[in-house]
Amino acid sequence: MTVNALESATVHDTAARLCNSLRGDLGAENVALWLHDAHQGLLRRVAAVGPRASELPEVFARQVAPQCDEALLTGRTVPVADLGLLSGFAAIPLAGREQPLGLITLDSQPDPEKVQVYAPHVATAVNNAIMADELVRANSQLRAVDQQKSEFLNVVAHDLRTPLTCIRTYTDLLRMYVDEPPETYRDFLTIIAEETERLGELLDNFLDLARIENATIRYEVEPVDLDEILEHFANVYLAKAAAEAIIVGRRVQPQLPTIQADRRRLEQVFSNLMSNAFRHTPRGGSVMLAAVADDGGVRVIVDDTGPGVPKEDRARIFERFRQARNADRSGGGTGLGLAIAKAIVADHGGRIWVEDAPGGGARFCVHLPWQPPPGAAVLRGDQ
Amino acid sequence: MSGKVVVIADDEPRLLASLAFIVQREGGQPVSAPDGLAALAAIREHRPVLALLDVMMPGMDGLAVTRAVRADLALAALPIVVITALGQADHERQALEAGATRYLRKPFDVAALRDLIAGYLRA
Repeated sequence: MTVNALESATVHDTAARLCNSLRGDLGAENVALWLHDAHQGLLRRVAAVGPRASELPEVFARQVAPQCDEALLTGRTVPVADLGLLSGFAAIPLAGREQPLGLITLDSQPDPEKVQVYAPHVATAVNNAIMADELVRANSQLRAVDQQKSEFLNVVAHDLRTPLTCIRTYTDLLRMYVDEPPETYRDFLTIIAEETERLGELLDNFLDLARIENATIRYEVEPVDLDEILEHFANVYLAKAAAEAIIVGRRVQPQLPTIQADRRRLEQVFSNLMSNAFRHTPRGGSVMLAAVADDGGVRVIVDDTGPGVPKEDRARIFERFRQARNADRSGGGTGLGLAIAKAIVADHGGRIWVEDAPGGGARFCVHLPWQPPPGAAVLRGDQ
Repeated sequence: MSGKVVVIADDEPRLLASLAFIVQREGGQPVSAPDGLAALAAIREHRPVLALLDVMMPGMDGLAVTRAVRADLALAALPIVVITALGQADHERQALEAGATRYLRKPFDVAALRDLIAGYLRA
C-alpha cells in the first residue's frame, strides 16, 4: 500500500461502498476498512460506516493491537479484545499483492464461510482502486514532464531567437542602407560577430546540459589546484573589471591541497559563477573569490555586490532557464550557466548554493569533496 | 531633430537600437523605451505618430501598454504595432484584442518594417 492511496478519492469511495455492503451482508452495525502502511507498521482508516464510525481512531500502530497483527500475519479472522474502541470487533485480514493489504473490522462475529467468500473480493476491489489511482498519478506525472519539456523548448526558442533576430536585423540594415559611414559598418559587424558568438555559446550550453543530464558527458579526473584556477579567472576578468571599475579580490587559504576533479569542467563552473557575478555587480562594485578547506573538502566562495538573490528564488535560480525569466537578459545571461554549474558540482559529489554576502549582494558557495565519493558521476569514465 | 516621433520599446538593447536606427534613417525621431512603463510615459509625453512595442518586456508588457493607450481617449487613435515572437500565436490574437493596429512577427523582415515606418512618417 502506498501512502498516496490514503489521499485518493477513488480508494476512499471504493472502501466506503464496500463497508456499506459488508454491513448488510455480514450483519454488522459498524464496519471499517484499514490499509496497512508497511513502512511505518501502521493501520490507517480509509472508511468507516455505522453509528460508532466517528469514534474510531484514524490510525493505530500494529503493535498496540496484537490480534490485528496476528490477523495480518496469519490471514485468519480474529476477535479484537485489547484495543479500546475496537474491543469486541472482529478483524478480517485482506491479502495484498506483496504485503498484507489491510483489515476490515466489524462489531459482530461474522460467518467464517461468508468471510471466505467476501474477503478476497473486497481485497481485489481495494487493490484495483489503488492500482487505478496509481495509474492516474503516473499519467499526470508524465503529463507534467511533458509540460516541462514544452516549456523548456519555448525558452530555448526564445533564447535562440534573440541573437538570431539581432544578426538578421543588422545584416539587413547593412544591405539596405549602403550609404552609411564606415563606423556604422564596423559597429554593426561587431554586433553581428558578438551575437553570433552568443548563439554559439548558447548552443554549447544546451549541449553541455543535455550531456550532463543524460550522463553521456566524459569526465577526466586529475589533481586540481583551485588556487591556480581562481588566479586564472581573476586575471581573465581584469580587463572587464577595469572597464567597469569593479575590484576583483582573491583570498585562498595558504597551502590548500589539490582536489580530485575534472579541471576543465570545474573551470566551467567558476567561469559561469564569475560571469554571473559580473553581470549583477554595478559599476564601482567588487567581486571577491575565496577558497578554504572545510568539512571534508574545500569551499569556494564568489561574493558580489549586486542586488543579491531573494530567499524565495534561491533554489529556483539553479533550475535550467529560471534566471532568464526575471533577471535582465541584457547582460547576455543564457539562464543555463547556474544549472550547468549545479550539475557539474553534483557530478563531483559536491554542493552549490547561494546566500547573502556579508556586505549585501550574493554569495555563491561551492563545496567540493577532496575526492569524489565512490559512485560519483565524475568517476564514471574511469570504471 | 524636429521630425515626427516614433516611440519604440524593447528590452533587448540591440533590437531597440536597430529600431531607432531605422526610424532615424527614415526621417523620424525615435524615442526609445527599455520597458512598458517607460513606453507608456513616452507615448503620453511625446504624442508620437506611431508606437512599436515588443510583447515580452519586464514589468508592463506590450499588450498592457496597448490596452492603457486604448483606454486613454486622447491617445486612442495612435497606430500601435506590436512585435510578437514566432510560435506565440496567442500573442498575436491578444495583441489585436488589446487594440493593436497590427502585429509584426520576430524575426521580422527589416525591409517590410522600414516600409511600414516610412509609411507612418509620410502620412
